[in-house]
Formats: sequence, structure tokens, C-alpha cells
Amino acid sequence: MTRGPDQHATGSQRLWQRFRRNRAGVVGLGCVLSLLLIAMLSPLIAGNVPIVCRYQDQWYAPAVVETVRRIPIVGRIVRPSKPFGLPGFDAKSELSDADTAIWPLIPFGPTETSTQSFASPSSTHWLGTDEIGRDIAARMVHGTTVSMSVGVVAMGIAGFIGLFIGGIAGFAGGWVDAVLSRVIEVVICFPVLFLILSVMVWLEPNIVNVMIIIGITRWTAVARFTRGEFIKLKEQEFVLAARASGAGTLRIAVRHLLPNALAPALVTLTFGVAQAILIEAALSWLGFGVQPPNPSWGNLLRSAYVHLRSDPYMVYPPCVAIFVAVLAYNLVGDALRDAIDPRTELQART
Amino acid sequence: MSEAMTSTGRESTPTASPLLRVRDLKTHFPIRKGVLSRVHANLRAVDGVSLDVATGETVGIVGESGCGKTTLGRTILRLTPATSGSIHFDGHDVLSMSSSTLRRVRRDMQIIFQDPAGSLNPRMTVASIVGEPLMIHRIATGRNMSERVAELLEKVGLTGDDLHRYPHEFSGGQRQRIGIARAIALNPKFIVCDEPVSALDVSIQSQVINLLADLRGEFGLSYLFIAHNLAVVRHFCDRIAVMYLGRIVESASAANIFASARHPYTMALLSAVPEPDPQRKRSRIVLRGEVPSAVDPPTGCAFHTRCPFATDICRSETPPLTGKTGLSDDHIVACHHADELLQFPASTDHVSASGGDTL
Ligand SMILES: Nc1ncnc2c1ncn2[C@@H]1O[C@H](COP(=O)(O)OP(=O)(O)OP(=O)(O)O)[C@@H](O)[C@H]1O
Ligand SMILES: [Mg+2]
Repeated sequence: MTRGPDQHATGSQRLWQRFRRNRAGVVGLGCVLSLLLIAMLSPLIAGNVPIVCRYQDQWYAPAVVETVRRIPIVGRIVRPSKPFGLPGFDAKSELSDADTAIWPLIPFGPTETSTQSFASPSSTHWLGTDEIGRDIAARMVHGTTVSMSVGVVAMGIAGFIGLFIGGIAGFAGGWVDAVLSRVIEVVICFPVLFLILSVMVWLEPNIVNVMIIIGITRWTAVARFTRGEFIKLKEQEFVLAARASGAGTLRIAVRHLLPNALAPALVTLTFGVAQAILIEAALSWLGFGVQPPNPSWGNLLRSAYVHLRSDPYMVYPPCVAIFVAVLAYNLVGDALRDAIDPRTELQART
Repeated sequence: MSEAMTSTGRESTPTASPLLRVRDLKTHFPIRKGVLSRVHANLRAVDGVSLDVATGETVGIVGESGCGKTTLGRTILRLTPATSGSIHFDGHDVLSMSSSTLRRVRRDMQIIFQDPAGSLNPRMTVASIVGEPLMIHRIATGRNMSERVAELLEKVGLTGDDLHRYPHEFSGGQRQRIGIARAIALNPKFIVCDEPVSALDVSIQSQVINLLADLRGEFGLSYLFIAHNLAVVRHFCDRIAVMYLGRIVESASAANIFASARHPYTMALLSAVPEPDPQRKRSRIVLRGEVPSAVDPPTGCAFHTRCPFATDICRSETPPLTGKTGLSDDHIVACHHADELLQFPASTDHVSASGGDTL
């Protein structure tokens, strides 16, 4: 009899124990978590207001407030920290050296301009500055937020639609399945980038619309996997056993089919995040995504591309970032796929 | 409750209203083809089965792979929809009852599956697998539930320590025990055992059979015990029904099946049973050829394509399942030549004829 590494571990502990064996996956996961952390905390890493400071005998935490305010919906409850949030208020000149202040690692805002344009990487500007003197490192950090949230939110939408449609098709079978399968096939045939481009002509090109449109066009892979899993699973004897025990349709779908179908869906979604990051970059590069002066890896690449001949240093950061993010998500997806299969362990031992 | 019921059930012949009464049950699977999914033929997995199981009685169903045993068992529990016929369980009409009644009746009729791995949800712990029926029927919750589940596990020879482990951590025999614990969780009256030991090592088989026998004694259970060879059911069943291509071809008490089988197919199955006593030579009928397709079964007696005794009448007329002279009352056979075969004691070499047309 084969036992798991730890007999009393819960399901997720076991999953982690199996995941951990895949080195590349662990490295990928490290990168993904760092990127997510940077994305969430970007005002604390790069910005032109201090994290905490003492100004005119009062304590302020403007960058912290800004970080909280960026959380969707609930963040709106917090009011901006005056006077730091006000337009025209330049924290750097207002605060004298005598005032206590802890500044972000990169003390420049993503849209803060300076007279130093096209500065090569230096100790002040780690990755140099662009054509209007904005710090590229600060823009990269804030671009991470865009890429990560587009990837995660778009795939959240896609996962929801995919699980729902695929699950219903697989579970119901018959004509319901026939109709939904045709719908899936039609959506697969959409040339996504062109579809997005044509829709973006009508919609306002902003990050929310990019998320939604990627989400509602990239769910087909999840739906197909889920449908296949449901069809395979619903014939399994454990489903019949549940019915014999008196389980209703909902219970069977949610307790027996869904948890077993979640694994392939999650793997597909992880790969999907990588694709969504690429699509967002492509859209922003073409000018249909995040609009300047707001930074994203895609539009940073675009402005770097314009000056590729004269100032090639600008092109590396966004290229490396996109490459690392896509690779990291793919590594995690691979490792997850292996780890999530409870039989992997048995196979590995025999 | 069980003591009295068990003994009466064991000794009496089927009484006026048996626990389970199946009449002319048919389960056909439509075979769809083409773009429009038109039904193009039917696979007759179960094709007119009648069967009684008395309280406390164990009835064995024996037949080759693909003859419809699993389908029969599942149809009786309404896990597979029946095409026609009737099923009465404990006074309820199983095929026409509403889903809420069905849910209630299913507390009394359970099933143990053929594949011990496939019948347990790989993402659920033993505690939630065995506890699920208790939860659905609101029999136990919370701490009460874990105690009850641990109790059930001990009853089937596992321990309370196994509660939080997953199915893949157990051996085949242990998994089958988990399946048995789930089946008895609701205190049923009747359990369909679908080849519960076929997937297990021979050494484990008898342990699981003994467990089932113990539970039968303890709870006064009735079983419909499915197997693909007679050796397994010999000492476990009160009555045995032999199935071929969706129909019952012979049915008798276990002793009579072994002592005076009359259907050539039963004899063929008996040939495969190792005989411990070398003095008692039994005829050998080695089955040749494949089981015919259930989509397009042979006319007349479905067994005629493989029967060494087949004649013209076998090819044209379906033999009825009836009693024969010289057989005990509850012994019924579906064979045109059952009476003639009686005149050839089962030990002649004659029967071992390999040519298809000899008689
Ligand atoms: N859901 C289904 N759809 C279509 N055909 C089916 C279905 N289930 C079973 N069958 C067919 O019905 C016939 C009987 O199958 P069944 O599983 O009942 O046989 P069995 O006697 O249990 O065999 P085994 O000993 O291999 O378990 C087979 O030909 C099988 O292919
Ligand atoms: Mg079977």
C-alpha cells in the first residue's frame, strides 16, 4: 500500500507536497507571487509621495493610503490623504530634509516628468528615463499592476464562464450539449485579437474593457476541458454511488463533479493568464489598451520601440518582464497539472 | 429484528410478497448514429428478466462478461432507466415512484460496485464518503457523524484512524470495505453486490465474502449477488440465476444448480469450476466462439450459436423459462432439450463433444 508523504495532511497540504517536488514550478511560483506582490504594493515601491512622513507637525501615510484606495470597490471608502493627493502638490519640494519621511524604494511617480529625458540607467534612475524624463523603473513597477490584474481578472471571468457552460454541457448532455458545443466551436473560431480590436473601436479603450473582452473570448479552453471532465466523471461509479445514497443533481454537480473537474480548469486558467498578459501587451502596444500617460508593459514597449535605434536600453525592461511573467505562469501551470493528479505520486513510485 | 427474519427467509420458498419482485424487466440502450443522432438500433442489455428476492435471501446472478448483470443491478435501483417491465420493492413500485419517494426507498436498497477504485470519489476523504448518505438523509451531523462513521469503518474491518485518508491510499480490498461501509450506512434491507470481489486478489476475495456474510447475519440483509463464475457464489447464495445475453436461462437453489443443472450454458459454466473431489467427474463443455451481440441477438434460443445440442427448433423458437419434470419446484430452465439432457447423466463424454451440431 502506498501512503502519502504525510498521512494526516489535508488535501491542500498534500497538493503542496507534490507541487514542491517540481523545482521549475517552485521557481515559477516564486516569480508569480513576487509579481503579484509588486502589483499590489506598487505605490509603496515606486511613487512620488512618501510611505510615511511628518509634515507640519502631523503624521501622514500617503503611499499607504494610495495602495488601499486602489483596491476595487472597498478602497473607495478611504479618502485621499490631503494635501498629498491634491494636484500640484509636490511632496518632494514641500518636505524639507528636516522632516522625517520614509520614501518608496524608487522615489518617482509613474507619470512624474523631469527635465532629464533619455537618461541612461544610473543610480538615480535605475532603468533610465524616457522621452519626457519619466523614470522607467517606476513605470515598470506600475505596469506590473496592469498586466497582473488583466491576467487574473480576465481569467477569473473566463474561468467562471467556462466552468459554467462546460459544466452544463457535460452534465446535461443531449441537445443542450449539442447547442453549447456549437457555441464553443463558434467562439473558438473568433480571431481573438481582431475581434478585440474591432470591439475596442466602439468601446473606450481602457483596462476594464480589456479585461472583460479577454475574459469573454478566452473561456473556450476551460469550457471544453470542463465538459470533457463532466462527461467522463458522470459515468463514474462514485457518481452512481452518490445517487444511490440519495444525492440530488446539484449536490452531484457541486460536490462530486466540480472538484474533480477543477484541476484541469485551474491548469488551463494558469496558462490562460500568461496568454492574457500577452494579449494585453499586444493591445497596449497597438494603442488599444492602457492609454498613456498610464503605464503598462505594452505601451512601455511601444515607446521604447520608437526610440529603438537611438536609445535601445528602454526596450529591455518590458521585454524581460513580459518574458518572465509568461514563463513563470507556464511553469506553475505545468507543475500544477502534475501535482493536482493524485495518481502522479503512485506513478512516480512504481 | 434480523434473527427471525433471516431464518424464515432462508428456509421458505418465495412467499406471497417477496422483498424484491422484478417482472419482465427490459433495459435497452439506444445506439445513436449520424449527425441527427437518430436511434439506429437498440442494445438489449437486459431483455425480459423476472426475479424474486425474499427477505433475508441471497440470490446470485451469474453470467459471462457483457451479459447485462451490472445493467440489471443498476436498473433495479433505478440508477439506469428501465425500458419496460416492473420492479416492486418492499411494496413500492420502483419504476413509477416520485423522486422524493425514490430517495426515501433508496435508504433501504443500496449497491456495492464492481470497481473499488472507481466507486470512491478520489477527492473525498473516507469520512465524507461514508458520511455522505448520513448527511443527505440527515441521520447524523457533526461529532455524531464522525462517531457513526468510525463505527461503520470498524464494522467493515477498518479503523477510525482511516477517517481522514483518501481512497488512493488504500489497497483494493480496503477500498471495497469502504464501499461496503457506505452501503450499510443507511441500514438498508437489500444490497446489490455487483461483482464485489472480481477485482480483488484471490486471497482477499474470501475475506470480503466473509465480511458480507457476517453483515448478512447481523442485519438480516438480502443480497442480489452478481458474479461471473459459479465458484464464488456456490456457498454464499441461497438461489442462483444464470444469465445469458440479457435473459435468465436457468434458476434454482444453489445446491440444485451444482447437482442437477440442466441448461447447457449452466453446464458450461460448471465446467469452469474447479471440482475439489476427483471422484466426481463432471462433463466438460468448453464454450467456443464469442458472445453474440446484444444489438442483434440470435433468433430463437440466444445460446444456440454456441450450444453443442442445438437443433432446428432452437434456432426458430425462444424456449420459455419453466419447470421440468424431475426437477424440484423452484428449478426453472429455458431450454427446448432440457428433458433429453436429463437422460445423459452429466458425466458422459458425450457432452464434451466439440462439434457444434452433434447431439
Ligand atoms: N450506458 C450504456 N450505454 C450503452 N451500452 C451499455 C451501457 N452500459 C452497458 N452497456 C452495454 O450493455 C451490455 C451489458 O453490460 P453490463 O455492464 O451490464 O454487463 P456485465 O454483465 O455487467 O459485464 P461485466 O461482467 O463485464 O461487468 C454490454 O454490451 C455493454 O456494452
Ligand atoms: Mg458488470
